[in-house]
Amino acid sequence: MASWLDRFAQRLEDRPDGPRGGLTLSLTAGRGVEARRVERIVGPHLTRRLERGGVVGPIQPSASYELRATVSLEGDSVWIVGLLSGGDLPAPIAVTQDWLVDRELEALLGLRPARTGQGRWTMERLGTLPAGVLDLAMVDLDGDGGDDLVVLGVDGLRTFLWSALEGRPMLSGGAVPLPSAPWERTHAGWLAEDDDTLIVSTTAGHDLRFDPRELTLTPGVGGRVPLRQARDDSRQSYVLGSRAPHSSGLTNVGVTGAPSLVRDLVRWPGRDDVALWVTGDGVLGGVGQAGPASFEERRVGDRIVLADLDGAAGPELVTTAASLPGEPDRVTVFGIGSTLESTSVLFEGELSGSVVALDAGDLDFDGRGELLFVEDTGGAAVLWLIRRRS
Amino acid sequence: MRGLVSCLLVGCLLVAPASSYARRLPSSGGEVRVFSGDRRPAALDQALTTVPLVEPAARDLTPTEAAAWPPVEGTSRRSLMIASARTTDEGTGWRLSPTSLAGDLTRAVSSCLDPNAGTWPSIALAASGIQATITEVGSNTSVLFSTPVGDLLTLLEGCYESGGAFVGEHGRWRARVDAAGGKPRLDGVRVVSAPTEADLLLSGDDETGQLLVTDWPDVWLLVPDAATRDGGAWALADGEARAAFQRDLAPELILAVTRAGRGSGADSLLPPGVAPSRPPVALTPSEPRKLTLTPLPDSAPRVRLTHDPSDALAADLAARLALLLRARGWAVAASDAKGATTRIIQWRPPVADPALALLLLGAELDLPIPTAMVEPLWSLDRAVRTAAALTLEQQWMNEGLVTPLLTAARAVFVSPALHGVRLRGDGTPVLSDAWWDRP
Repeated sequence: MASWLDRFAQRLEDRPDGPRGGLTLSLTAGRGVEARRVERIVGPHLTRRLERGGVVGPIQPSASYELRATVSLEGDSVWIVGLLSGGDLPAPIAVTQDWLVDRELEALLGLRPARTGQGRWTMERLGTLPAGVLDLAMVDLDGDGGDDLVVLGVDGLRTFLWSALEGRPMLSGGAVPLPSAPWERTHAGWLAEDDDTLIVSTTAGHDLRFDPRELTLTPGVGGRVPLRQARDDSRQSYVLGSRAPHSSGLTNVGVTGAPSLVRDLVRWPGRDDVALWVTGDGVLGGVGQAGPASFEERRVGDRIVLADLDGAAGPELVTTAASLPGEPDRVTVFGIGSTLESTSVLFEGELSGSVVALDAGDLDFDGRGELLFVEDTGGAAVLWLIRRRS
Repeated sequence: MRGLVSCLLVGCLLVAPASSYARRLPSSGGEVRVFSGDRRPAALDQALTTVPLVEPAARDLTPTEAAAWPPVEGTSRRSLMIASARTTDEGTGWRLSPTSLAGDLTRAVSSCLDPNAGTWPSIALAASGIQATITEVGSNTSVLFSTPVGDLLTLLEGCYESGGAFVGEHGRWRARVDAAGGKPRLDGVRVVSAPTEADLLLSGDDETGQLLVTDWPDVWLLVPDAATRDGGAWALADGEARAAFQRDLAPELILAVTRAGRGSGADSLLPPGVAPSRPPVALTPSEPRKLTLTPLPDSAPRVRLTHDPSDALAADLAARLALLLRARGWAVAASDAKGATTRIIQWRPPVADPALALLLLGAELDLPIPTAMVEPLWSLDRAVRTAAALTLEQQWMNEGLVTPLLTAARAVFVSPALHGVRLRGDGTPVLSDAWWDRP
């Protein structure tokens, strides 16, 4: 914030027709900024900076020059717009300065606050990723026991190391561009860990293996699509499906009881007879210990996650959408048992954009899972964290 | 294809930004039926059949589009034709390197910036008295300006080339297999004559689909001629007078009737989304004014109010303005009368840059642009450009040349099953990456 206000003050001081013997300053809050924070944080800071500069003179209630300024949030930048009038000026002039919103400004100005949690669950905004995210996978890249991130975007693959100090992932590698693909348009992508590499697949026809430590790409798994599975040391971390021609789903996923066409499928950890899926027409379904799932039918987004997020026995189910018409997208954490008889909502977070990728892992190596997901807000990809506090 | 009429039956109403869906895999095929109403079909034709030279930095590209459009080196813009744009002398000279996809970049830039092109970039340059010389240097395109142009890429957002996702004419377009960026998911687009048959409505108040709202609203402006200004009909030369005028105008009531409340009063010419918030006028507290109408003598001064007859919102504004004029002791002259005239116009900047937007408004209304302002209005520094634009905006308002009345959101209504529709800066839908959800 100091740099932003310093630059603004400098522009004011650089005006040859500007104030020299004193200035009356008033500040207001514009779009997206809290008035209280402008008054208590920006106002005193700017006043101090202008007085220390010793150019415009003292800030006083009735000087011959008046500066009325407004602070607002516009897109990804915060702006201060001042209208300077009085003194020798024949007409008011504008002085402006913009600054990209960073974490310090977010905290000081109360921009885009973390969403409040329900009960012990919290949902925290971690920052933005390059636009065009297709999928993300949580993988321990540095061997510290805690998970890091691999992000598949339209322009390639990036790796991020989780910083416990910063409380967010830091870019460590990439973007590693994807090679030319049979088709030019990329709508969706899949990532799944397989030993030391990740299988990468996209609707543009990419079929690759990615080494996230060496940042290299090699040929993939024969054109099949990997569906990431819940953590289970006794089983493979993915199942493979085939792209169905002229359809928006996958076939031949090789799981007993699964429908012929699915958008996603996850097996229950430790069991071969229980699985949950999203059908080709977007409905959540599954097969439990006692037969087909009997929970309430609901339409959901393409991807689901099954992971232990609360540290208690058994995994939780995470779905995205499907909201009622007119309502925002949402991420929902359900409590569910292996009989798949019923679900209970443990946490629900509302969003303004759409969820384009999600995965669960253990960032801080505390044995309790965290959920990371990416919200596409129209231009920006925002990374969120949902976790249950102890 | 399901039309909006089916939504009426189930009574669904979605109000959401274009990207507000949980991700679903797209399917191919299908046609989109468009009802354009009184909107210009030429803009729709252009959006379907051409591609912009440069995609704006802030545009919410779908992942597909982002993949198809490579970033211009060193910038956050994307372009199918320009690989890099460099200035070596602070904006006077620019060197554009073409991508492998570029056909004839020099010709494309030349035809767009030509003074007679009629494109908004050429109008903005002409309004500033800036000449551009475009030549081919080796495989690159050289652009020389008579005055430094700091942000050439923003200017080129208003330039379009053939090679769009669709081809056709007379209200019917089909997908191009060889479209720049790949074949679109849709098979085609056609214009229909009735809103009930449409999947996408550019015009009208039907609220049964998803409502896609543009990034910034349209602005309605009051433009008095010299005779009206000299007569003092409006007397809006300072912020406090304009704030009191806004209170009397009651724009929220007008918008509630015709635009479902999607809009607000305006205290500046550049709408939110194009320019940042400006300091509000500190009003002296006063009771709302009661309008008192008394009989006017025949000798009362008269002013003619004109507006586009197809603009319903302008008609409502004219009715309210006539009342305010009357309360000020002015009579409204007949529409064919000679003498003092005030226009009510609807204006929409085609670009989100405040300086370019203001230059285009100046050109449209023939407003004075001081020579000393030209250089800062074209500065590479966004804050300098914005400050110059806001200073000039204040100047025009304080001289009573133009006064903002209100802003109203521009929206299109889209079938809830049609995904991936984007809106261009001018409010025209882009369908190159749209697809039908057929669960």
